[in-house]
Amino acid sequence: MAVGSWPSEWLRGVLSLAVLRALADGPTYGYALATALEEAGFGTIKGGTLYPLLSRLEAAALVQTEWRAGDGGPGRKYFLLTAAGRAELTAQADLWAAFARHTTRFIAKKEL
Amino acid sequence: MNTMPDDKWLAEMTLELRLRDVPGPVIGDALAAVETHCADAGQSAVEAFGDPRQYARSLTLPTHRPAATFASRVGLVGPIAAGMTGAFLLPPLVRALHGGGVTAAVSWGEVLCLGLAGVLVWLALQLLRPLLENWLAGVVFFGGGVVALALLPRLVPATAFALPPWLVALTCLVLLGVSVVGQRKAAQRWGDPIIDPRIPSQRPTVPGWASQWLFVLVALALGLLELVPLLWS
Repeated sequence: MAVGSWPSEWLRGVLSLAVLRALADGPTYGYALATALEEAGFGTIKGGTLYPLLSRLEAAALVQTEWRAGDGGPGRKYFLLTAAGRAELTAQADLWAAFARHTTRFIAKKEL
Repeated sequence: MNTMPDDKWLAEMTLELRLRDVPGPVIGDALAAVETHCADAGQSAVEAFGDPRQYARSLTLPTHRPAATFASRVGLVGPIAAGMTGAFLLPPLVRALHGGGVTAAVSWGEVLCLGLAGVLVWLALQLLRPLLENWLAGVVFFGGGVVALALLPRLVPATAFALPPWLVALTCLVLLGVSVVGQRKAAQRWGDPIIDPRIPSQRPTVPGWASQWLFVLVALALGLLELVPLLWS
């Protein structure tokens, strides 16, 4: 199956973790984040999906924001991972790996 | 819906966030984020974010209800009460000036009218969300209110009290002056302006002149409504 045509329910479930991982590379703004995730095969992410998720992460203090002036253009809102966000990313990444292994083993069983 | 212009979209989002008691600067931040994302993506707000009210509801944002102190209650309600009373004094004044009377008579109907108007304004603020969301409820409420306010002075014409026209005129001017100055001060002190984070040095705009001069405009309208039939007859 081509990258990017995975079922949308799977993508929705993993988006929060994917956003945390994308932010671990450094602060970025909303549209750049959506583009990076789309190029990584997570499908088109609209503003209406991304910003509510980012607002939840900010409310949970996993992400903080700052407005940065553009070069000659209008400012943009940058999202940065906090220390708690990095810890959450590590914990979730380990949990995800365990979950994926567990699910793969179960699906592969010849008999339940 | 697919062709909703961006300024209308942003206005609906703002209204929804105001109804949720989201602080002004936080609203400004959320609006600016939508605008910059749309500019980067080359999409309209409705294409990128969907329905403005649903989007506003999906955001996790702080809310606040500022503690109402006695001073803030007086500061906010006082100018409105003064403005309403000043406006309601204008029809009796117009009648007295037109008729060349020695006194300006205020009827019980007009006194009840003022009381009813106060109750309706208070009710409207309590029921703001349902009135704005259900257009029929809004039409019935405001339409019914206007009809009741128009009929009361005619139903109860008996004089409540009479004052010299100069005193009524002076009181009217003072009350309307208090309402204009008081509303401006209240807005500056307790207002919660929406601040665009992209322009941090921008002074938050004081609510437009229309809202501060509202009761002067209402007074002039009531005065004209009283004067026109008198000139016609």
